[in-house]
Amino acid sequence: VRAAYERIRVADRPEVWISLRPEADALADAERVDAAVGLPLAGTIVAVKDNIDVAGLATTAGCPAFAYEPEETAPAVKRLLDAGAVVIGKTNLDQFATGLVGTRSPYGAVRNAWDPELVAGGSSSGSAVAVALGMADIGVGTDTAGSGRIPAAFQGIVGLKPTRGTISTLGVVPACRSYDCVSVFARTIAEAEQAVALMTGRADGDPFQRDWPADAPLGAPAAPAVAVPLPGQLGELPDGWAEAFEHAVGRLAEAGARVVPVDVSAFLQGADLLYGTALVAERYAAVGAFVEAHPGEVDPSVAAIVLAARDVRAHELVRDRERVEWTRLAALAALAGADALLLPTAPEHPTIAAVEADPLARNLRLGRFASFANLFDMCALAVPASGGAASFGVTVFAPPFHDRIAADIARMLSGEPARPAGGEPAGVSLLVLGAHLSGQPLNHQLLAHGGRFLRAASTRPLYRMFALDTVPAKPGLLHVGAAGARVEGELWLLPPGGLGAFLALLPAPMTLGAVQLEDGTQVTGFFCQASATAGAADISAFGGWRAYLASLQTAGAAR
Amino acid sequence: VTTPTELLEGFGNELRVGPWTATESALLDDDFTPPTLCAAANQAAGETGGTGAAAAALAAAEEEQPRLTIFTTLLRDAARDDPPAGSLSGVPFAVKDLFDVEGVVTLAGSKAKAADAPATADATAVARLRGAGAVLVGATNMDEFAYGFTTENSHYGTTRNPHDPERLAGGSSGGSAAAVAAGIVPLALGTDTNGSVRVPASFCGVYGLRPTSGRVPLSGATLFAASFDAVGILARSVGDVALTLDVIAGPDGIDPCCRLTSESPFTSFLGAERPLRAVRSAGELWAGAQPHVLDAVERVAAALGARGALELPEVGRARAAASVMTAAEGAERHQQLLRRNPEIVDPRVRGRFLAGLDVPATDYLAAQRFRRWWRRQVLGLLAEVDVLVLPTTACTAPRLDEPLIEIDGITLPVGAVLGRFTQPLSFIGLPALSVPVRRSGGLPIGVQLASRPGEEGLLLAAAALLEAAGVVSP
Repeated sequence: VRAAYERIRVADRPEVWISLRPEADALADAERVDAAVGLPLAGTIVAVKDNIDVAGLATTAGCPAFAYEPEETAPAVKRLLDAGAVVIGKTNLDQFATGLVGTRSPYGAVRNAWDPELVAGGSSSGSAVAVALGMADIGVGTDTAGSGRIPAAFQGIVGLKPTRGTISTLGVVPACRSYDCVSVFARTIAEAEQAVALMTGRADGDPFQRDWPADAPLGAPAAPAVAVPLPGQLGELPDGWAEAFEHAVGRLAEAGARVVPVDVSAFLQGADLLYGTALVAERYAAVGAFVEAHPGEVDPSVAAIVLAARDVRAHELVRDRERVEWTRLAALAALAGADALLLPTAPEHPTIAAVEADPLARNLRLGRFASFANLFDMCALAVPASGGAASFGVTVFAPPFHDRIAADIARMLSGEPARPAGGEPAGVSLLVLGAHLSGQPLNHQLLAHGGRFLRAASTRPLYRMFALDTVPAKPGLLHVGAAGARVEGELWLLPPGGLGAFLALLPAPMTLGAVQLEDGTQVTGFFCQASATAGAADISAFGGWRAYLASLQTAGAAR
Repeated sequence: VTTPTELLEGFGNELRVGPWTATESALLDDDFTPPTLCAAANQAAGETGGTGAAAAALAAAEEEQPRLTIFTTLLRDAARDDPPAGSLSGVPFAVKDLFDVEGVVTLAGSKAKAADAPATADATAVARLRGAGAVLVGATNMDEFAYGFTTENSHYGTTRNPHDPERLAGGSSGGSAAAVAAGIVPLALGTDTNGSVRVPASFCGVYGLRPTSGRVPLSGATLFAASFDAVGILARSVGDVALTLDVIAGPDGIDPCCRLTSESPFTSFLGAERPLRAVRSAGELWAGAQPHVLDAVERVAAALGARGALELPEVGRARAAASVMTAAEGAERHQQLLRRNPEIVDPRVRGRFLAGLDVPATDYLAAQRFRRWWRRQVLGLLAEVDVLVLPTTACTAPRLDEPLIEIDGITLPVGAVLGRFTQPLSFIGLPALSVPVRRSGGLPIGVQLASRPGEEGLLLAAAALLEAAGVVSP
């Protein structure tokens, strides 16, 4: 905490904060956390965008006349506090979260963390700069049109916008309520994922909250298919950005991804629908009455956007919602089954002066690769990909609840290691020994049901393995005790819902049961009915299915 | 195929029938008796296939048309070729005139569509029924663009109630309900946005199922308010409802909102021995119905062993929100016509649509927000309930010349209150089945059974039990 306050003093960026708690109060919180045991976020400093309620601090949404003193902390932030995080203050934003620039605030245009002439990007401008400059470890933001991703790119940090509704938006001043998300900035993917996981969950009385489904995939396949735009579809980019994007695509390919060029025009059309249509009525529904009642106290660009939506009729909204829906279906069809989509996070990085010269057009342009995500119900993870171009970043988009697939693919870009031990998502461990091993004929079943490869693993020497006469060929395991051998296999993690569907595919004579691993743990694994081993060859001596298959090939070659 | 122009000439606004029936009536068999009106029974008896039932249905349709104004199009060649084999082989059926039928103009109750080109393909539900061997004999009358509960139509006439032609059949799927009630066909398709299958089912004394939203593809059906539209079934036996649902349910790869799949056939719920937790409604989904309606609800609830009463909160707001969304979505769908040529729209319906054009977007957003909240509340309350028993309509079929009804001492126009008990359920996509209770010496009345999303099977199980016990019958 002391270090964070020291950095705040040194950085001299007063516009980042709308309210900052006294250092002594934050220290007192930290001491309370230190006294507790086993809190996952002990020692984590959090900055909260000032459109999210934190009890004890005013919520302004970037508009002094709008300020109110919330009685309760928003559930999203409350969960971070419960996990041991210390909130030190509320950060600046584009007023009412209406903007992607970070300049639309009476508390000052937020300057870029690394080049004060450039914009920080918005609307979650302050939270992103606070993380980039080390004033906080986690920045809580919101993301409707890209507000949790554009500032991540411009500051060179990670911006995670999870699937809409998984984090409650209770206690958040709405921008465009059907599409608002709470998002997180961090310096690494692991930190962002951990914070989001802790913030996720039910909140009483939140009609927009969605439960995480039991069959949501736990990870990307080893060679995920990643869609990228067709040549020329990105349009004009600043010098070096096209190369930086190509570089990122190349990295993905090197890391084993299958890069699939697809027509992304439906996604780009989607980006225009959030502002250019009757959907802006949501902004009037959110703060229209306030803006009407407080002329002169609202940023002119924000007021223009909100008030323009005053006379929108319901049938126009219905029409444009339907357009969104058809465009979304076209976009998803264009993905053609790819696991994720990769785009630059932003199309340019303007200076503060350029934005002030033409605030609406510049802002609209910034959302070109970002604003469709919530309309199309996709999760998005923005990561730095400078590749020589400062403030260039890319975003990995995936269908709803495929957040872990997006994170795995983003890791292939960032080079961040897979999750540290203990950081795995919840699931059921399954030991596979034969046809379900990586590269074997039934491995696709594990992937189709959301499985995630954990590691190679061996059993204790308690089993015997037989070559069963099935199609495709499978080994059958029997527990024999002292006369047994050690068998090699792979440990996979399956989502609870996925395991159920996977079980339904289990053919005779295969069974599932508890198997002892060499490290002493017990997991679920494949066995077979004892009767099926009658007349089958005992192949335990090979030590594993792959070794047995290799021996067959050798024998075949010799013959 | 009868052309729309012929029908227009024939029907007129005063329900007199012109040369169309005069020439055809000579063909009718005076001793006509309705065919066995249960496809399921036919199937059990092995009496399927052939064109006899369809021919009889066509004859009955011609005979009843002058009296009841049920059909807008008759497919007179329907009985010419042998139907394919299938679970409904040879069973005649009718569809509301908003389903596309290949080679036929889809009128949707509107004169504005009379000059449209004929549909080039069957709607999914129609195609699936035909694929199972059922024989389509005609398209049925409706409120224009499905915006109403009475099947009063200034272009194609008012559909009369087969139990008493001086009374309304209900709507908007009134022609389909009347076709089934009159014994012309054993089953018919309708659509239900706020109650348009259940209300006429109640007045006409037949079964009327509104499946869970997303159960049956709407592909090829003229939409009204897409947030609530659902393809529904009208029939004279629970078995036929289940058999039909098995044929038409499930994704077709065209309707993106149709995603529900079912593990076991719906017919397997009939006669299934499973205890049902039934409860009757209370509060706003109880009060306001006439005493004899509540009697019928009590009888059905008692037969299902219902214990206690369940009051859903904020039902009035649910109705208001559903009405706002319906008006806005309906207006959006027809706004070009409303701007270009409003006079061509039935005056009853025109006013509703014009009001819909004026709904502010913020009201629509508020309605949607309320819907999310309400859905969660209701699903929580229904977690331990298999079947909620409540009225379908506040009254039995009103007289044509008596468009007012008294509810709680207040006299209201009939059309405004007919969705009182049905609209809140479809508002959040719940499945609901109106079962017919026959009252000695009186008009039939429907009692509504509702359940959690995806649980049509529970409704069919409950209805089968009621049917077997003789509590309900068409």
